[in-house]
Amino acid sequence: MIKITPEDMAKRVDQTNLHEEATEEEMQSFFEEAKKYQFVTVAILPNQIKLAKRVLKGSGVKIVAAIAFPLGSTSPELKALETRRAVEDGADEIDMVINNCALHSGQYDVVKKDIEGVVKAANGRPVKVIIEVSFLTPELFEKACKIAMEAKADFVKTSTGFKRFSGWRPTTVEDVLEMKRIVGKKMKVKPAGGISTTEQALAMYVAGADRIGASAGVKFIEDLKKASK
Amino acid sequence: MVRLNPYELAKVFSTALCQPHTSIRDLTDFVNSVKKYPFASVAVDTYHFPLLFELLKGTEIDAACAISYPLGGLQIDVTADHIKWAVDHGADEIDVVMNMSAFKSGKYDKVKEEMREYVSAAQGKIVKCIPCTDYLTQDEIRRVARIMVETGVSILKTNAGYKQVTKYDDVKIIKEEVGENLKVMSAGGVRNADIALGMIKAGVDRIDSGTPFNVLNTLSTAMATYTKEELETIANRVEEMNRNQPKVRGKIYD
Repeated sequence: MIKITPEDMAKRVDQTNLHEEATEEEMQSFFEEAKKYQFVTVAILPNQIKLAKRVLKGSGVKIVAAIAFPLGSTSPELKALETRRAVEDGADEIDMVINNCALHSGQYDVVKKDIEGVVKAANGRPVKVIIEVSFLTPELFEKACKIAMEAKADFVKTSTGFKRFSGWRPTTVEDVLEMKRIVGKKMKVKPAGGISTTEQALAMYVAGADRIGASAGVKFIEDLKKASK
Repeated sequence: MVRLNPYELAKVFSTALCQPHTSIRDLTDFVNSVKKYPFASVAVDTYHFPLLFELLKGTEIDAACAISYPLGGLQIDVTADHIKWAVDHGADEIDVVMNMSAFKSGKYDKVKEEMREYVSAAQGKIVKCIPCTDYLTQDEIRRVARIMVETGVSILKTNAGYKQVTKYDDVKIIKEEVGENLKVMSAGGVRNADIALGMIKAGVDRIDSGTPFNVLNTLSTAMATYTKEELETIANRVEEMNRNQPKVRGKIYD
């Protein structure tokens, strides 16, 4: 039987808060909490990076910036600019949304160059490519993962978790297994979107998720602490 | 004779196509349908924008670009850079989402400064600033409207869409607060003509709908619930809205 400790889980969770209406005070407590629970990262909007940097200084918790979020159909030069500025403000990792329009239009060259632009602007920092599985056929799912791999991104990520898109669905274990089948050991995999229970998080962990994107990280850790008593 | 018809109504309507699965084909088909009516503007993301600009050439429909959309989560200078890019690529109108976190944190001076920066980056083009009224209290809505008046923003666009809904009361209190000093565009939840006519009665200056053809197609059904006198009043108001419409590309339709 696999034993997963609270610490194991914290090391996998990109603790996420992408609420655009969250106040500075709310973000501050969110960062303090992340520090306390020692999540591997916090995933936030670019206009919160500077505050995150101040609060998280010396904590070991890294900062993930959501780029071209959540639509992804940003002009490539602007996406690279967003990335550069996120890095300047203190981002340690980049979660970029793939150019959805180009992907759905069959412009695979554009999709690849768009990711390459972000990878270059990230200047050595890990880049995760969000492919929004809700709207992909199995063929486009595979194509998107392969392009991200060719463009030398580090992770593929299943979804933005932006539930307000009509037709959006939560990420499943099957999505993770399919991603892993496609990218093998060449890339890491991050499921995100709708992972709100500890059971789901554990299932993702066991399925081989290298990171788990969730806003419910604290609950996962608390549940695991209770279970280990 | 009542002068209200889909063609007249379209003049005070904007629309947009910003979905995570919008392809070039989808956008082309959409804009070609939109072009059959004299809509005020169409908005898309920056990646789609150069294509939109081409498709709207020779029409009087403003090409609008959605910036920091729909979360308003970019840094202020990055947002301004996006706006400049859009203007350089021919945007007539900018649909930019306000930094909600700063506003909700009570940093009103910062919000004002931010909007002024967006107006300046837009170099005279129309700026529609989106405060997302769906997430604001009535007091906050009044406050954000008062702030916007001082910044040179042309239009307060209530919401970014994606399940955000604008209430008739949102429009009423904004007009109550700022009168003619700021235009109000209702966006979010205007799915049919019944709601559109309600917005017009509430005092809106322009309306946005993600389903514009459904609005136009349901107009005659919606009109059936009004008296001839009421329809006359609404028709007069639509004419007035059209006359006072801020638009860059074309003249206001005769």
